[in-house]
Amino acid sequence: MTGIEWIKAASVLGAGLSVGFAAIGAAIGEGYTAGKANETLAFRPNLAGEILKTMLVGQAVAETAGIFGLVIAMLLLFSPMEGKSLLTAWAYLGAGLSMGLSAIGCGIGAGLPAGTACEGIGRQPKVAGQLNTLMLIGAGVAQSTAIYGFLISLLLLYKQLPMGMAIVPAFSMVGAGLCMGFGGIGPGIGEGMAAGKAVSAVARNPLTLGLMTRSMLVGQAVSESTGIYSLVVALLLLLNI
Amino acid sequence: MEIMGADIVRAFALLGAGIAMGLGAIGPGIGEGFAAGKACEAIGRSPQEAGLLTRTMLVGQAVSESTGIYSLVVALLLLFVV
Amino acid sequence: MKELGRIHQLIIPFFGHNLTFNLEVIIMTWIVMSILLVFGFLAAGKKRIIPGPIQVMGELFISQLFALTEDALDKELGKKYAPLICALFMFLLLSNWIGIIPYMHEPTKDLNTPLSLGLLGFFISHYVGIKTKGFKAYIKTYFDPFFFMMPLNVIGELAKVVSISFRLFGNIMGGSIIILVVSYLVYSVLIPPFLNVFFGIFVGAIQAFVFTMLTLVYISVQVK
Repeated sequence: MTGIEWIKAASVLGAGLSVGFAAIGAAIGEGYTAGKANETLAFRPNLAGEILKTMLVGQAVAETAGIFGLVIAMLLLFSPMEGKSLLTAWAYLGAGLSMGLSAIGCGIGAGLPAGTACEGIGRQPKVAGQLNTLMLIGAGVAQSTAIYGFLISLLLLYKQLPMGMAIVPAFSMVGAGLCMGFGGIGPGIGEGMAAGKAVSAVARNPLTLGLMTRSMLVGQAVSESTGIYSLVVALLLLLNI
Repeated sequence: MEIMGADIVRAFALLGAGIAMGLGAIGPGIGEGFAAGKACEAIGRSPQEAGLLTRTMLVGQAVSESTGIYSLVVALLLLFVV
Repeated sequence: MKELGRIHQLIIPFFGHNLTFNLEVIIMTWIVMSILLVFGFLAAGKKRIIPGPIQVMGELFISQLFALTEDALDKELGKKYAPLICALFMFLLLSNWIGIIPYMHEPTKDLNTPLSLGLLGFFISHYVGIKTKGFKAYIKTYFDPFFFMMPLNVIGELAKVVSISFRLFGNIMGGSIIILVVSYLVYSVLIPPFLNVFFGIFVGAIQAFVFTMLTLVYISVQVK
């Protein structure tokens, strides 16, 4: 095999990893939302329109991380490969891992508040608008580790690499991808859990909306910090090349 | 292509740093999110105790983050010392 | 795609060292600060009983943020530190939103701005902690729960600065890069304005609020 064939093989593998792993999270999150919506509809059939709207919006947000994975897969498949160094193969593998794994958590995390928002609308139809807003804020913040994964993937994709093959930069790029990828799973799920509980608390007691938004954002911000340490370590690994 | 023994050690140290921080971030992320969720639930039940609950949540999260910080320390050691 | 790694720099030789200035960030920071100054003069210059629209906006900001600060800290400390919180929030909000305007760039997109603001919050919170609790009680918090946990407690405190500044930097930088890449992929047709609304307005406002809130929380944890 020549160099370019290795690069092609790595780009195909990276694209598969990126979109495949990203699909896991998005699918689980959307399924959870749809399940909760159905459960609520069973005893509140007259609210079908409202709940369907919330379900679709929530699923669209949970889909975002999956779309990031698709974008990275497309970039990997259609990027020019002529005259690149053999290290590019390792960079492509790292880019796929980083985006795909980090999208798992964010998909699940965005699904949790969307599900509880559907449940909450069944409980308190009058505050549907406020619940939707809180759900969007919580799910939007839960996407941030997917954004970090996307950032690391793009840095890996467009990095200027020296010609030739050396083991240290190759492993450091795969390490950066694994670091940001795995690091995105936990914070994504955790932020989603915080947002979900906050949405259900507002559905119980709508007067606490402002207080709850504040507490939710602080809790989410703190649970994101390990994801940010992963981002820092991944950036340091990329600087190392 | 010549690969020296020292290169292999350095390469695996960098890979290990990535895996250490990556896997180490999963647990604290979920745990802190769990704490934040329960704190939100509790604030919804008794909004007048919001300050106390937020402080307790932050202390609990700081403790559950400590394993994440151990991972960060190990990753930085692998990056800069080995 | 050429814009990805582009930084405008001004390098001045200074006694054998090279001082590097990031011109774009400096200019954008000054633009943000001058807009805020003009806004402040317009809002507070002619105070009237029946306020104009700009005065209403200013009063809304100030009253909300003062109430937030007094909730988190005590009444006295809250009054003292509310101006800091107000200034921080307004600066960050405008910095994150200014990237929507073409040819303008967010100053927070460069790591230097969030890191310096994070360090500012770190030093202020520890200063307040020493001042209110006394030096002995302040040092004692580091030896909780056992004395050999001291290094980890110190690392935990330093990690707060890293996490607060990299959170803002990562979100704003990631958002702007995503807008750039997607605009390039779809030849700037139809999708980029929606992305601008999401990453520019929504994420920008939330991250500005989170940064401000966390600075406030760090101060309040040190006080109590």
